[in-house]
Amino acid sequence: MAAAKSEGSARRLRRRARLLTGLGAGLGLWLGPSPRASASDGLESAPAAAVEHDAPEARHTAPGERLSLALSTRVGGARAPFVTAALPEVSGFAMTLRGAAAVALGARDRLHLSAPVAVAWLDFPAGAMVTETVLGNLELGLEHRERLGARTRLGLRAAWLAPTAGHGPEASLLDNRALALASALSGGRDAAAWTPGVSGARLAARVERSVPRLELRAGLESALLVRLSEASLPDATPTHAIGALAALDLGARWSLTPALAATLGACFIAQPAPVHELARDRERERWLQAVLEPGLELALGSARALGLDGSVPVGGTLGGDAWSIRVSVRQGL
Amino acid sequence: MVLVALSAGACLLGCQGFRVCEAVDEGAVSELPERLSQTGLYASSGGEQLAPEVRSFRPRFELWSDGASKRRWLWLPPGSAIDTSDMDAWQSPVGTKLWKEFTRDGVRVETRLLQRQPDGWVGVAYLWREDGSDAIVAPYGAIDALGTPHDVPASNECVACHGGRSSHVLGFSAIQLAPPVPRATPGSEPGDLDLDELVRSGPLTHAPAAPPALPGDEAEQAALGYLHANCSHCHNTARPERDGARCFDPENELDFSLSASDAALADTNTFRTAVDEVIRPGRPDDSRVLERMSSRSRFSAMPPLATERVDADAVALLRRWIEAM
Repeated sequence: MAAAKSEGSARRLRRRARLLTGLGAGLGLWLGPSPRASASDGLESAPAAAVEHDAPEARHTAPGERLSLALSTRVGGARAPFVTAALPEVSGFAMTLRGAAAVALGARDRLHLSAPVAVAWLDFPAGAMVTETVLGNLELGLEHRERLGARTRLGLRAAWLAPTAGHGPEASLLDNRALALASALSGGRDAAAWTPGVSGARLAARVERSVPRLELRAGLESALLVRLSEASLPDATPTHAIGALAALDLGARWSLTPALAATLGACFIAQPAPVHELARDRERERWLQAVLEPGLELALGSARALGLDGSVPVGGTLGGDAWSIRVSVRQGL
Repeated sequence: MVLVALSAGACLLGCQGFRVCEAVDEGAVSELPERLSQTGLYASSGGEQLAPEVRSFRPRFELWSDGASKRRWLWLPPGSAIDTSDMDAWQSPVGTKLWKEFTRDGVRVETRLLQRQPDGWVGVAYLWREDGSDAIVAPYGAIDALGTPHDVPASNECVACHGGRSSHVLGFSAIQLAPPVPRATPGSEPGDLDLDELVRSGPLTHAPAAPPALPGDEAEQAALGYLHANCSHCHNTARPERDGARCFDPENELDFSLSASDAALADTNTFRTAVDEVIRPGRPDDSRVLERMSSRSRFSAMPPLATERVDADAVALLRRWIEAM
């Protein structure tokens, strides 16, 4: 009996020790590096590429990091469906920029702010192009990270979308075309950020599991959009008060060297309830869009990362009609 | 990184920047009538009868519009005259209106209006209703209008071609209205206005002593005329200076325009600037003008706007001409 009691007590002690170790590791990320954390910093630091899609960072940030700044830019071309019968598609080139900042609120929680901007060179019917710069929907959110065992990590984010895209008296149909093009560049994956005249909530969860040299991720993102204005859409455009978006994100990251990793992502985007209807896709026969994202990530020390990846929509309304290359950089402070 | 991104953007636009034009001037367009029937083209709303003083005309050399058939009309303010002191660059009086109607695959699709206002020209297209009862202003144009492959240009795209000439009007000039106007060809109408009648009726400030006579034989005139009508609105060295976006302003010095004063082939701008450059006498396969005319790629097509179909007849015409040079 005494032995059993002693064994049970030992188990409890071991559990407490593991918990304390975990907490210590977690706190170590906040307060200072633990030897173990330092050993794997190169690949443990948060990815630069997560910034644009606002994927919550499941990976640990560098030790002592209280603030992170990130900038992501995507350049490409697209032909995408649009809202008007006379102009049922929008095409051209665009460059999107997303700046993001995250402030640590504790060992595992962060306040996150991101701002997307797009410069679009829009095709006009006869072949001219017009340059248009638009602001996407700003996003303010809370992020939480958790370890689920030694090899598994969880990231969660709840965010509010500020209605800054295509909003206000200066907004025009041209703005909406630029927003549609910006959204198409990433295969519609960030449609919530580029939807005009809406506010809403965005929820995202990401799980990452790592084995030596390989890391797998699965994420689920959803957005509930509430229409606040018609945002200069043509009168004939069918709009809805509430809309919903969802995306399933799967990916793998293979460490080629301690600093360099190759990535491959696949994202499946669904718009079961769009807030406005597209002229050529009102039957919604092709509401599921897949996007492939091959890329490279380079860790530049413990707090800096550089990412380069491409985005190739497959099937859906954009299959074969969009492409883009993204460069992203992240700096922890 | 921003530099990298900007470089990529610049790279993307490196060979496309000439396409960038100003945005649609919604204020200027809003001053034009909402319906074609209100523009003064027709005698009555909903009717097909032309208003008094509206005259049809047909240029000698037409712009290729992917096989669309076209009709054109002019209205000059009563008592006004066209300033023809420069026979290659007529200046229309304030108030002048020109219309061009496009029919594609048997469907009347659009009618464009070009109007001279005190502070310059404004142009816009009117998109015909499916029932043909009227046409409605379309400042942003339309893609595949009325189920045809025809694209209707946005208002800001008018300047892409018309802005290349100080006259702003392209198909109504001494060269284009001089005989022989192809009256017998489909689409021409009896009573079309031509240079002879303009001289007789008097709305020209300076009547030409004689109609411009183009140099060369019929085949050479046809080839030079095609280049004049389809290329010279951008490719001419007398382009007006413009503020703002480049908007189809070529970076080379090629000039395909014909002049009323051309007396010999060697005098023509095409021979002076393009022959031995993009036109290789006797070597059509080495002539870049043919290569570009035969393309509809976004990055190499000529003309780079308002056409999605190669003009096969014109390519054949130019090929024969170059072979025979």
